[in-house]
Amino acid sequence: MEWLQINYNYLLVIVLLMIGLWAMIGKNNLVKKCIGMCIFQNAIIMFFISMGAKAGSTIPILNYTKVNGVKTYFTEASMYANPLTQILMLTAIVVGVATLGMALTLVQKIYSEYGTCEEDEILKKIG
Amino acid sequence: MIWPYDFGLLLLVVITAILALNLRDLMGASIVFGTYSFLMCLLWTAMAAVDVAFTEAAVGAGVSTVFFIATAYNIKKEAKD
Amino acid sequence: MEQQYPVLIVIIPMFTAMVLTLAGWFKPAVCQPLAVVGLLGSFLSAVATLTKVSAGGVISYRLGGWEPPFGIEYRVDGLNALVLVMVSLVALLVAIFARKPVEKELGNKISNFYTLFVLLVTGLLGMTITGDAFNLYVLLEIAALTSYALLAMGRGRAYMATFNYVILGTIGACFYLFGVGLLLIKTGSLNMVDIGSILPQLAGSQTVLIAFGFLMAGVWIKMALFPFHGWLPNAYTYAPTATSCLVAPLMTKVSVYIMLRIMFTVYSADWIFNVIQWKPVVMILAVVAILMGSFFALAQRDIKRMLTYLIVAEIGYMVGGAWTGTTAGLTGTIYHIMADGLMTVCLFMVIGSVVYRKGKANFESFKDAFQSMPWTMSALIIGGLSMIGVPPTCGFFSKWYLISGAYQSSDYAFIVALLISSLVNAILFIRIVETAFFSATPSEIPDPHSHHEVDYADSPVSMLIPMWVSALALIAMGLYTGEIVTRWIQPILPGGLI
Repeated sequence: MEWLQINYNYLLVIVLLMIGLWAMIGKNNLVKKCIGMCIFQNAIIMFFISMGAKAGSTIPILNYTKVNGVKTYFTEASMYANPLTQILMLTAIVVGVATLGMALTLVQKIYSEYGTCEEDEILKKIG
Repeated sequence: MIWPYDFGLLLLVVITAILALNLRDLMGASIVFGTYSFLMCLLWTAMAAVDVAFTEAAVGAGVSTVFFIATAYNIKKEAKD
Repeated sequence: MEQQYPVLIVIIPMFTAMVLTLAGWFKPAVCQPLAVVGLLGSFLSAVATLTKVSAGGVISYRLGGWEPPFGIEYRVDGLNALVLVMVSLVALLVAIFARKPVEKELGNKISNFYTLFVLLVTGLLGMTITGDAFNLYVLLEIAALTSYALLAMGRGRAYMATFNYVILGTIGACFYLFGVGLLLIKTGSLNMVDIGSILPQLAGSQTVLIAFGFLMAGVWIKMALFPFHGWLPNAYTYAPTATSCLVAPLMTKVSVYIMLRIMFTVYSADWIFNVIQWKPVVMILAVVAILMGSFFALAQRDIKRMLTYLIVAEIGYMVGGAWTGTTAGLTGTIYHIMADGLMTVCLFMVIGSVVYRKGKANFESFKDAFQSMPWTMSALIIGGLSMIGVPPTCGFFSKWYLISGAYQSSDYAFIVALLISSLVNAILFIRIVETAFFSATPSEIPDPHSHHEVDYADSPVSMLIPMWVSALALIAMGLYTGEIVTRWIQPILPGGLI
């Protein structure tokens, strides 16, 4: 139970990875495959963010206190969530949306070519 | 992070993910997927990853949903599964 | 200037791509020369880097001046430098070759094509040169996204084939990213050499093992090793000529390079061959990949499709060679990355020329090809001999190293598979050459008195030159095998191999 309290985020990551993988491989509709792809990528991003988070952590920016109108700046490294993983994931989100755009464009092209978005019907038409 | 809040969000994320995949209506699925992205971004705010959260809100919940709706608009809206 | 060569390799094509987008708006005709100039610059920088590496060992280039474990590092050793030269050379040749086929097949999308083309080369070169695991992921996705767009330009069945590639490619890239994440948890570092220096202390860790599994699964999907090869033949067959000439030789080879990097720089030979016992399984995959690729190639009527199955077989060669765990096998793999890149591009250019002249590339279109396209067919013979493995072409030497490596580690199944594959290649190419030479059936034998003449219509010069450069490079590489192996490959072989 204690393990679960610390690691429940990773459990969610695994559940989402499995859902995404199942949708990408097992679903028949191409748009559903794209949704599965997004969920899959999101799960990986979730994994990276969970890796950098701490209980009660805060955003890594410069903090200050104001005493009699004088600002004193200070940092408290131990309170910060790991910014490295967050920055990495900014890139990953953008990459994910680019891939999604590509995939959905292809879905529309496939629809105009075959008149359907169901994989089995397309395969039947290809023969 | 507040325990019940966090747990409720995690549960909702899984429910919306499964729902987005199982709705027959593609337009509905796109909207539910947008909800999923938005819940994700709430989770990340709770984990002090604010910059990721607002990128996700703009790109994941915003642009992705627009892409999905645009696609669903152009093709047959009923999915077989 | 001289220290900047490593970064110029990547930056020149990147800026060329930006210029191309703008130039394409105003004057599409200027795109191809611009792309050639950009890639030529990249190629020259790669050659300069190679000479620097052979003189002074490993080059470490810090992007933005940040020190390696914190910033992104470009790290060039002999292995990188050779692959960089190969990639930029092949890209340059294809850019020259592409002029006519692109005008014919993609008339109104010329500027888009060259922009994506150069961006794809940027991604591939970046993947090869970078020393940072996450940077590699980003460049992997750049290369993947541009290749999806390029492959989908083929229209018709290309759309569905590319869609499958998008799905599988994303799974592969995400698996790679997941593996990098697990390593980041354990080591706190993204620099490959830095991770490599930390991992020996974590030899027994379960997480490190799982990370290795995910990294390998991701890379194998990307390179289309046997159980994951389903997307490759369709995607490459229905692509436009110029695209398949670029993507087929390069994408899979760069993925093999990444596999070697992960195996021997991030992890160590000692850990892979002594701590975990995966070798028998991977060798079976490699053997099955070779046999499957060869037999499916035999069954094809379309020559381009046949070549795509041969690529699947060649992947088996390289994976098997690297996993024999011998110095000879690894030498063969590294040598074969270069050799296979060159011979695949040579053969695809030949097929592209035939498609350009005759509309498609099945056995029908090869009839009488020797009379009508003598130069093209001669290049086909050189490429075919290299594929079969006849000296002095480089295909022979890579097979020699692979077989001697497999013999040392007593992987006899791999040797048998290699020999069968050579035999199948021989059958395939003899069949093509036979059709091209003696195509007339007895009833069609021309009457010497009648004026039966085949039209002489060889490929345009702009297509023949790159084709012949690659064909001659195959022979030159074969003749200088000893030089290449002792000068560049041997210094970089990791310790811990048999």
